[in-house]
Amino acid sequence: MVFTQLFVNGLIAGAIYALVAAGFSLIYSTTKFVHFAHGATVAVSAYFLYFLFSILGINFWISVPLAIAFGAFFGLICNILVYEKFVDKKASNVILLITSFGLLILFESIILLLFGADVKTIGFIKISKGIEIAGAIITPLQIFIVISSFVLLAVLWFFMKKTKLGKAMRAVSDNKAVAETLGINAKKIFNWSFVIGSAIAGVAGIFVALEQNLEPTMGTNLIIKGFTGAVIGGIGSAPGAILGSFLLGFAENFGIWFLPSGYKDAIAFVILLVFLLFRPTGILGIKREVQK
Amino acid sequence: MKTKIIFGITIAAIIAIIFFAGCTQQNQPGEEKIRIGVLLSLSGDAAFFGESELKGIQMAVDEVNEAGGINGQAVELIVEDTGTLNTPATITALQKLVNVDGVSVIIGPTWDMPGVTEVAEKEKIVLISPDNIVGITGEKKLEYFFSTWQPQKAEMLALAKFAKERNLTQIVILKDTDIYSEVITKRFLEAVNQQRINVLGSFSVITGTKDFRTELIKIKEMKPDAIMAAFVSESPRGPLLKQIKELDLKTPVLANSAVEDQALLNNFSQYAENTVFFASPNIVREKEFLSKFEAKYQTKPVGPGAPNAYDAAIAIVTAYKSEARTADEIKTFLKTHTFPSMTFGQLQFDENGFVSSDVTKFVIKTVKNGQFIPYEGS
Amino acid sequence: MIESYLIHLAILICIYLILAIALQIAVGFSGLLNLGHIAFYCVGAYASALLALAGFPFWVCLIAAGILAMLSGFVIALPTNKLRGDYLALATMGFSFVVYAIALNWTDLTRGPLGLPGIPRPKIFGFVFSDNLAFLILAIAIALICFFALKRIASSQFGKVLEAIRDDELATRILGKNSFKMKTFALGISAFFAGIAGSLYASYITFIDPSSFTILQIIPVLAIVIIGGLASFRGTIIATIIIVLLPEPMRFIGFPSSIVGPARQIIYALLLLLILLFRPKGLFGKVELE
Repeated sequence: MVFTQLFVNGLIAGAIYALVAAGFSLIYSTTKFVHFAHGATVAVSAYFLYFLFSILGINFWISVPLAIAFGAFFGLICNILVYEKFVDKKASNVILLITSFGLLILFESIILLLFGADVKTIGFIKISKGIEIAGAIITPLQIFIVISSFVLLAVLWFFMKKTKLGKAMRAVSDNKAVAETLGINAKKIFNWSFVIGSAIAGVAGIFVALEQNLEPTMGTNLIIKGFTGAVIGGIGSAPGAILGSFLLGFAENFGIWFLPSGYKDAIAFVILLVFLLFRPTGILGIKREVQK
Repeated sequence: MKTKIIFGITIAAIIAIIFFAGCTQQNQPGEEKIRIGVLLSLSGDAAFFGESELKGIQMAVDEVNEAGGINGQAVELIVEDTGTLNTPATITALQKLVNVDGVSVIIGPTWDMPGVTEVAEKEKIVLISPDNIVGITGEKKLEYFFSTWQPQKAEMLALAKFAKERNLTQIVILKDTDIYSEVITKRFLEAVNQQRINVLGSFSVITGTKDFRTELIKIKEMKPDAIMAAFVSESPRGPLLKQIKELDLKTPVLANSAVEDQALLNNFSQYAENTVFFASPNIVREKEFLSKFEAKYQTKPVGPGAPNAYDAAIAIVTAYKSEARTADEIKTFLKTHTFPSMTFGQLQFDENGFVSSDVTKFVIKTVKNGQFIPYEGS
Repeated sequence: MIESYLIHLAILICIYLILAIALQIAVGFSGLLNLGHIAFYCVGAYASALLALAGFPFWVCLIAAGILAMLSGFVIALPTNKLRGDYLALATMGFSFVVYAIALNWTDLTRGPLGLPGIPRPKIFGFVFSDNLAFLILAIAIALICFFALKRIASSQFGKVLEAIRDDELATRILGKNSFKMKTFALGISAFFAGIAGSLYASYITFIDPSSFTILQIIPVLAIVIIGGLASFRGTIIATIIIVLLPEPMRFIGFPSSIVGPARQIIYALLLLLILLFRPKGLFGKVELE
């Protein structure tokens, strides 16, 4: 059945965007940085997995957590070595925006240098055969990806609502100055945001590597889509980002059923514009001053 | 105030470096080495083409130098990276090669950039590309432009004939939005019309797309005999083949010759097995080329263009060996002679600077047991 | 011979200068973080190219490019007028994608990926600017006119109100100024000059295609605006020269050819980061943006 297949396609696409958007949104919500280099985190984790599994031959189930950890570490390094320096100099957000672009270019070039330009894959799953469910075809890996992002949504929501760290993050996200007077160390919260957000990005990188392929520029396209999903869902809210990403996935797939495929990106951005005009806080966005 | 002075000095320093570097390059006695410019994409999305092309050129030049160079003179390559489809940056690099390094011949660029071919024409520099298929998208005739890629018209004719013979008469086209796919699709449509093959529809996805599932559902409903996948890069093609199998589509896939890329075999050969068909120039001296390449680089060429680039370099060297030195002499020599070619056996340029279809013999190939082999009929 | 190489670079500097100062009006003076600036550049370039290919004289192409770009500026300004800071940035970025998609897909007009080749060089009073040196002189003339025009606008009453809006829009409105109208004009002016830059670009390279107008092209222009310092004309000139010339000295460092591509990108990115770290406010910046 066409409708269910389109729905499934939207779920799969949305799940991957969601994994990228969630980490990005988490980082933005506490630090207010537009961390475009988040795309580099995705690429770096994917290539690290390739390095461990396909080059060094380390067991897959050991390589995966290592790659995720490396992604988290990479994001943390971006903060400590680069962003913090700018914050110390009281640089504005525009500067950080350009800086994150610079970091993205830098790390994509380093990957190109180390691994070469040719497309690579992680040869862990030998043959991928689709299973038919309710008239739609989906592979086991794709099912796993979709379930993982739902689980992530739930875990994130629980984390932000119930745990001490999550509450501290929300406090900093709402009002950093007040949170600091309450004894919360904002710098530490920033670091935690980068660690957790980047770890999620690491998961995204691994899924993309398994489901599609690896190339040095893989981060750029993904961060643009993730970014869009995050805004649609509410840029201050990580669970919202996930929801927005799924919406994006559905809109794209249903959209190009009716329109020529060349308009796929434009569909995404028209939706973005519509949301920004009529509901800038996004679906689950924290009510913040958006208009003047 | 101090920082402004520092910055002022830095800018002056940058300009000075450029100027002095340029002058010293020119003052060097140029007679000691023969310089050939190389203008390839070594970063960005086209880098997988450029990297393998560079290796092909380098191999040719190293062979020549080891055999004593050109009448005693060594050949030197001056390599510039152009990024991917970045016309202003490529023109800047071309200007530097021509006006600072003083080359008369440039091998490149990677992928068609009509703005660049115009400039080369204006500067009267021989521009020989290993992979260009258009040169310029207009009616203007180019004098200094050459390409050693397999002629696409002839290739698509061969592919269309094969489709007709196998009774694949209802075809759907899947392409993306870069200039390569655009032109290949055009040539394919021309060839297919000649053969009275019916094109059921054409899907044009944004370059960079790797998710074709929704397009594939539409295609499944059209029930075509074959899908023509016109992509220049393995990046979308691999996932496409995978998704075709996942969605249980049993249609054969036709492709352009850029599919003959080791990257496909490394990554997704199981999905290409017995499914992909394309018209290959049938690298006549393939075994020879591959053994030389593997001996030098310890790997097969990953990325298309290596043998074509090798051929381009050899053609240039042959021209130089005949004492041609200026761009005019070289272009005349190229247009009037035949060259040894790894890709075609013999290489001859037609009046538009492309490989003459007189020398090309396409062979339909497919993937079997993880290798590209000629297709032997049902 | 080396002059040809330098002349080419100088022309690029002129084009980027116009583009950057146009962006300054939006970002530096009005506080509008317009990431869709390249869309105006694109509209101007295509408008100029199509008119030139249809045989119209250069000055018509140039002005029409500016006007059509300005109209597209109004198109994006009106709906996004009430958006603040980051949200405006996102909306304008989306606009950039939409314009790119149109350029790519409206093949009847733009020929899509095949692009528009053979754009004639400008012809004024019978003199054709096919020689690059001649074109450079034309480019410098146009750049100077744009520069001084924008400087006049910035230091006029209108410009002062824009700066007031940038610093505190609420206060400005309380004082009776129609900030929405003024922001719309600011974006329109910014777009007009971006369109002029686009026309110059199309006439110089004589070939345009959508790949010259992707979202990534905003990075160098935004870098110029930031490194030069917000609302600083002097800073913009110096920063343009730095950004355009930055990749050049690296061509003369002898990297082994197998790594030359990524190696140069790495150094370029590092230098960019160092410049930003060194002077986060920009060279002559006196302004902070939220």
